[in-house]
Amino acid sequence: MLAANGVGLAVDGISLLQAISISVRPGRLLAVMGPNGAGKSTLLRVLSGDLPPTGGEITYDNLPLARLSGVQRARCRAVVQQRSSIAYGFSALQTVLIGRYPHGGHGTLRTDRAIALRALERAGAAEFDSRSVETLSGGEFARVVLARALAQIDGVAGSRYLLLDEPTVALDPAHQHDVMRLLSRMAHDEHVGIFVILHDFNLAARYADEIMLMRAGSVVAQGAPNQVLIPELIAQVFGVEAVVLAHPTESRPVIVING
Amino acid sequence: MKASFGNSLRSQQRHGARRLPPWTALATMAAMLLASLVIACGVGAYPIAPSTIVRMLLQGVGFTAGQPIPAEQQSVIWSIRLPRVILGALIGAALGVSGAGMQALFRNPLADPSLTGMSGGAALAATSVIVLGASVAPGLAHLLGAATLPLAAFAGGFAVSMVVFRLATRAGHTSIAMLLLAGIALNALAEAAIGLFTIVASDTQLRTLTFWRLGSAAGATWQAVTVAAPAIILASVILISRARAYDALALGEAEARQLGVPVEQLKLLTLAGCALAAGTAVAMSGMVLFVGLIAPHLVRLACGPGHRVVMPGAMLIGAVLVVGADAAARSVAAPAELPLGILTALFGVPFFIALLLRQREARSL
Repeated sequence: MLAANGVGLAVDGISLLQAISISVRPGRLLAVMGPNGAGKSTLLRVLSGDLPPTGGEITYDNLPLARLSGVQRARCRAVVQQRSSIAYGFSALQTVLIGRYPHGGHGTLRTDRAIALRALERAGAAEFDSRSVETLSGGEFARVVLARALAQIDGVAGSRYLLLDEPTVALDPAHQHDVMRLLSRMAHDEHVGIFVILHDFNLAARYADEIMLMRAGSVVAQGAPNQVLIPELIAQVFGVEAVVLAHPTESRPVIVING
Repeated sequence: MKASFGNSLRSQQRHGARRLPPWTALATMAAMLLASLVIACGVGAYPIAPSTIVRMLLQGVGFTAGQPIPAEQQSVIWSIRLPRVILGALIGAALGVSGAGMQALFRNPLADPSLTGMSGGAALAATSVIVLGASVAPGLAHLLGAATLPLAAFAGGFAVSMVVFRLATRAGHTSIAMLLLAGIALNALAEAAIGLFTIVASDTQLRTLTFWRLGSAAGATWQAVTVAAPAIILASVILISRARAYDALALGEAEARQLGVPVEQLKLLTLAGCALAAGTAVAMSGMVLFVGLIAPHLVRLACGPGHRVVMPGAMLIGAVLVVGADAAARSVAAPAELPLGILTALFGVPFFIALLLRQREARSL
């Protein structure tokens, strides 16, 4: 379990996160939602170890994050950032192979290659494995970045976590659902713990096991989609009026924003 | 997720470059270096056929290869040409590998030890040793002996590049424009200080200072080779061994850290390695410009951007470039000699402008 226990972060006297306690459990998909500036991406950076918290503690399977080395962290959690870029004309396959960095010296180059190709396949990016990432569209590149994260934690024994910051933003609807289906499969079939920041209520309602709403650096609500995505909470967190309908064939809410 | 493609040479890939397999490419480059060494040994005011040189080298390592070589040719090769081409190769290797290291660190193909002030800082430190060393700290200079200049150049290059790096980096992001501008500023400062030294310098010191400014391998001796080789080989080993980390760094500093790369340590190690290589090169030959810019780029064009090829490849191609340029410097206006740095600048400037234009096209400058 990846847990934050009363985590706070203040930068130059400004408090960005206040006393946040959450847990990302292997086998569960946790969606994090909130208005711009709510601290979602900051929380992701703190959970990944990128920013040390100024209060509280992060633990990975009960071990304090601060005590894990960079490579130990890299083997159990992969991060997909919101803005990604790569210098120079690496091919999609080379980019994914870079994700094998923390396993250097263990797998042979050939097994790394097989892992990278499979990751590209799963992320729906197999068709452009040999193309330079500089020639890819934003959505295609986003899938390569996702594949890099998949390759990073492939074949790791023990708990694994994926932390993703709006992985569906550059994608068309079909690929948005492909990516969310993949994440949901990774959680339920492969026991990966997933923390994903989303802006689309209906994607979150459809795929998340649990939704957390954030506002101004604090957690406002946390629970199953039909407990959290209710008009009162949506109005309180996002300042918009929403109508929540029942899905005609599935047991999940459909959210319509009235503005 | 937005994909931003800053810092990139788009057209390089747009045409779907066909790339050589890594080992083939590196073997080809090594063969090119060997050929350039043999040919360059024969070039100059006293020409010697390449076949004679190969024969002599074979005889030198104990083979009986054809008839004996005249003593005059032997002495020209062993005591003049060979140390010079080997020193040229070492300097080129140092500049190529440090250029590749800087470009990996700054994630930009415009980085180079001379443009970022590293060579300027090294030259300033070396000149101050030449002019002031004997009077300020004679004991220390005596103790360090022939390594005084390279050590001073390393320290100067490292100090200046740390300053430039601090100036150009903010919140984990390095601005290439800031980097080049800070490089200009510190180069100007170094240039001014070197100018100041020319006023206090004696006549013999003045000649040495001129040599720094133009760059030349004419001072090559076996002693210079034995001083330069260990430093340059050490720096190259350090930089080449970080190749996988440089690949990860191409994704960005935060991403590299998330992959387990010790980024801060990598930056320091890279700047130190580059300063050791480039500083030693400057101590040996003065300012030889643009080799560090061109060599890694040629390797990327032929073999793609993976640093496991780019780092050793830039070292080999840098060596080929300097050995070739030095052979040209010795032969174009023979028996007079052109300064090496002038020749590399003549080729390097158009190349640099072409790179600038490409970056402008990619709107990343």
